[in-house]
Amino acid sequence: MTLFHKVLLGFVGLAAMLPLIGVPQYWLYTLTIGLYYAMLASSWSLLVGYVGRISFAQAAMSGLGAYVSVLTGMYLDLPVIPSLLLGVAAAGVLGLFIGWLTLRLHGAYLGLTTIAFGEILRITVTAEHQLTQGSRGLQVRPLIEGAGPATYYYIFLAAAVASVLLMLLLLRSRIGLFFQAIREDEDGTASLGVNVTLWKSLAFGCSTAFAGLAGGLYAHFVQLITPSMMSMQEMGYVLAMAVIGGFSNVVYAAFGGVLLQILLEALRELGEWRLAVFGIIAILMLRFAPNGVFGWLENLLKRKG
Amino acid sequence: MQLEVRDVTAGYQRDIDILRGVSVVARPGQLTTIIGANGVGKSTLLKTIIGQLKPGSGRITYKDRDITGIATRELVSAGIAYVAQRHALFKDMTVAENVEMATWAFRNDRKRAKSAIERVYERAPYLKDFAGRRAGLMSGGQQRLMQLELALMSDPDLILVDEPTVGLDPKRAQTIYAHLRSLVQDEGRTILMVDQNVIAGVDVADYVYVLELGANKLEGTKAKFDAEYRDTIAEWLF
Repeated sequence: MTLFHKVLLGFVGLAAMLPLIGVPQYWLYTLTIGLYYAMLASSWSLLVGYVGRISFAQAAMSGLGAYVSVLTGMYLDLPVIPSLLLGVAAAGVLGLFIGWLTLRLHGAYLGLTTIAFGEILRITVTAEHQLTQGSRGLQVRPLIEGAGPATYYYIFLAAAVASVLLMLLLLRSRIGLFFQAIREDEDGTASLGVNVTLWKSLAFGCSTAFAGLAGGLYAHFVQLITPSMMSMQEMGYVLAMAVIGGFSNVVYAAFGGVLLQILLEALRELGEWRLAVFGIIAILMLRFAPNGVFGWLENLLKRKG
Repeated sequence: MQLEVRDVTAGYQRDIDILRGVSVVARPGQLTTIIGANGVGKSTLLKTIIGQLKPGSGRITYKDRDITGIATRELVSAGIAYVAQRHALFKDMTVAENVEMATWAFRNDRKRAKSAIERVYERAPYLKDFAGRRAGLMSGGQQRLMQLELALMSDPDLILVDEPTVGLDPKRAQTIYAHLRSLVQDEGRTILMVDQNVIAGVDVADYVYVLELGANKLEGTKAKFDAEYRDTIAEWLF
């Protein structure tokens, strides 16, 4: 285990201690939202960093997971966990479909197509007043009745850690090898006999399923969902989190999610300017530290160690 | 016949054919070379055989089975390997990861995959020395030899090789040609190679085809080419 891994584990250990050492509920709430973004940013990094497929529909997929989870609970009277799983499945299946549909698209064309998908989803949710109450949003039942901020914090911490570990397991398996091979050279991978169509679609599906899980949990935590969670502004936050954390690694991206959520709260006085500030930081990171803050930190600790 | 391509047309855009009725045969246990100037469709032919391009018309058979338009993965499972000019090595992945990728076609047969990995390290010990390093750090010649070794891991009967010595100095190019020749002579494999290096490509071959503007121009045994065509071809191509 490297020094950097020990530092990361230290952060996770410290995070587990926070409710016990009397951190204010306001910050527990903020960190819980940060853990939601950690799941979302790492799911985006799984697709972009490891498979080389760009997508701007991740926030919309999180919203899809949330809405499916909430609506199936409301209209089919399903308990929370099964409806949450349905949300994950819906996001995963739609991701598979997008992956299949965009097989031959790359770069800007792929990016624009995923923006269109995201916007179609958001507009559909907004327009279906009778089902979703449009922009007014939906009241959502809690994940656990009567649970306090500390309980939610631990649930999100466990879900974020489990999601990232699951992604790492996936990436360290043969599947991860195929993903990386496709990122490096699609034609070369195909010439080895790999069914690139299947694996590219699966990569999309896996990534969006994680986003759907994050969205479903978020809905039952904040207990109110609106189509704004699927907006391009939200996607901008996720993108900045992954880029600033380091989108080449799911762990870096997850830490980026938490870090930027803390900064979002700390810089609240800047209002809308926060996104502009993050945009500038993201551009500087891409130029001077493409592996993000945590990639830079890992290199630094490697040199020192 | 090991592989027979009959009157195949193919191209990258509808209505624009690069191949205009090409016919080629790769005989078992022989090295067949296809030569021709840039842009005549040599690499396009290999891509069409390996299933990366769908032919507009014509027929491709392998061991008397019609394989026209069949997916690459099925052809690899059927015993055809493809050593592409541009890719086939993942330069940012380690040598060990490249070796593992090469077992994809039989990944579910763990015993076979394990023995193929052991065999490749026996055949090419330098790969073991490089196992943990990025494949892109190897020299150009080593990368080319590695591509061939990886292609052999599925124990193919037929190997399609696209421009094996592009970008290599003459000494390293000679090593590659010698290696290809030994795969035919010592191991009884069949090779269909396209090459721009006319002299070396003919020297190493048993049978030679010349393509011009996406169609067959000439063909014959190496002896026939040595005796009759070599000067003429050199004149056409240079």
